[in-house]
Amino acid sequence: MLIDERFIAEAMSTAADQFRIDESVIEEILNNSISLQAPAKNDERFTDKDLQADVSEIEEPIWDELNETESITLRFRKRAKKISASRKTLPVAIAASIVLTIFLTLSIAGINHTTGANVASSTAKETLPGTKAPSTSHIPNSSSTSRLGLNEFGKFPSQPQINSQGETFSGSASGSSSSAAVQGAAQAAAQAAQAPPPGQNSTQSISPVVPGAIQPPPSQNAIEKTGSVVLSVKYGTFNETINRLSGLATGSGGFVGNSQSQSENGLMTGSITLEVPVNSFESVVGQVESLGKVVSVSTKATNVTGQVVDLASRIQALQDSLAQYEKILSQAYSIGDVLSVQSQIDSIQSQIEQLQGEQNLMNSVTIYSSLNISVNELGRTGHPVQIHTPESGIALAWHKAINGFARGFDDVIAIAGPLLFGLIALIIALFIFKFSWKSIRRWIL
Amino acid sequence: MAELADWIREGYAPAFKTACLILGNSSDAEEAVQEAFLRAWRFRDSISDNQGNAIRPWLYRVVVNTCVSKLRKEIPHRDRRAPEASLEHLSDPKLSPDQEGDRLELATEMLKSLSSLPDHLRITLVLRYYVGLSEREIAMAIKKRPGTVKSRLHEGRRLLSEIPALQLLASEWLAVKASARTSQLPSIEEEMN
Repeated sequence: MLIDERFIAEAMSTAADQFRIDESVIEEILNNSISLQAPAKNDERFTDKDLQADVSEIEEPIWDELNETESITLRFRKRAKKISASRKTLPVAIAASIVLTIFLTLSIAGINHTTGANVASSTAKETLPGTKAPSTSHIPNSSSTSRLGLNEFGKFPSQPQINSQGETFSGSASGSSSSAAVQGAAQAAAQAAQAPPPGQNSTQSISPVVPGAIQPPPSQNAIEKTGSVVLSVKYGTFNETINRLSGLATGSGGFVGNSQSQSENGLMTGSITLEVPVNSFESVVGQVESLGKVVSVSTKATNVTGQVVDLASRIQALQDSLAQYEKILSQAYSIGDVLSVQSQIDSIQSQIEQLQGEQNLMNSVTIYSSLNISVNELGRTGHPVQIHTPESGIALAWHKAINGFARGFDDVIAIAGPLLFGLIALIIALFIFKFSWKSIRRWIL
Repeated sequence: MAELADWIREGYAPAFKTACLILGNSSDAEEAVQEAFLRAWRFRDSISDNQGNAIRPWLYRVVVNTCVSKLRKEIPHRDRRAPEASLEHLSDPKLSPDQEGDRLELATEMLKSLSSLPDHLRITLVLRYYVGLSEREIAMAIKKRPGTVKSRLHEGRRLLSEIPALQLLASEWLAVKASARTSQLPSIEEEMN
């Protein structure tokens, strides 16, 4: 049941009576009104700029009511102008459509190129342990290499310049199962805290990061490198190989991130993850390859310079904004203003801390490269441990189905990127065209 | 000058209280009404000749526009002020302390309920039940069709009816009114005699 109307009216009247009227405001209005000139009753109001601005500020419909006929005429004129303009812009629209079609075609060509590269990459990844792959078969990520415009993986002009403190890496090594990992992390942290000698082109050029401080934008490329190697070693040399791999990590200034081993049918298998300085990455990979029979090698490099610069600039912008807000806060004169500005400051500070966390993470991945090495012990006869793969029946069908699904999923992701790019470009082009058609038309005609 | 003074003195109080009910805050309402009156004064000649009998809805349109402008542009940026926590209660010497307490409770509850409504419904309800404009006049004031005004009024009343505290006050109010009416009627025995 709805509330009685009389009750609403009385309640509103009672509520309104609670507000006190300040008589001085009326006097103030009167004083302010004296200086105002009432507009003339005719069209002169349209010549008074101040008045026109005020009219538009109040609301157009007021004048619609006051002068309906005039308003209708103006609307018709505007519509007629729009129609004539749309006719004249038809050739321009056709030209823009042609340009967009060419652009989309190029985008689709880019999709095909990327898909082809992805297929090549996935084919390379299918190298299974036990197959006779060449011992020096480097399989860099072809798609990322082509995007970066680099001919060879080792040619990256990498020079990490932002480092983090030892705490960061001791934390990342906490999950390792061997004590060598922690020792390596401590050693790496100690090396990271040392400044390079002047005049020496050292890969250990390290500037300790103060938590919360803004990092200067990098002047050179920041590269994130990762890789994996599958090694087969002779019977009885598994532990020796693992020890030598650990020594490689610590010797190059890195540390062991993770290691695990297990015994199957009396043969040892395991994996070890080395975190090595990014500039030593290639030499470490080469040394790892010499420790046994290489089954497969894959490496990947990603240029994250843009992300590093972007993070630094975003943090800088937020810091500037924070300074402005603090200035405003010092000038606030009411509690409401202070609270409002303070909430903005809190929000900005939390954003800055979040971005600084991302920056520290980004710094860590550009200083140390992660190399995952799988080590398989060969049998007494020197043959590798065979991994059972189904040759027929439902198991084979299932195996193929899983592989096919994964490959299809990879392809969908690879296609989605360029398509999204094309869509964004199309939207931007439409906006540009919409807002600049007048000038384009003048230029053409 | 005298005409202006009369015009403003006469119209300020209802306009101010209307703005208070819409904005829920006297300081915002003061600013809004002051701005509205200055604007209205500028265009008083134009409106008086063209629509002489529509000054009232037109004036409230200016007030409502200013209030809406405040609600949309200024107040959201500084966390819209809550309805005044302690109303400046104006004591009425004719009323007992109990009655004054009831009035204050009614006023507080009504303001709270109004502030919980969407802006467009609150404005329509205030113009109808406080200012007393007809549906047609409200339609002119908010530049909507009379049918829209009607549906907004119904929706506003429906939402108010869903507030338990207000519903309780309404039922008490009705009971008081009914008993007062009964006491005014002559009793059956008196009629028999």
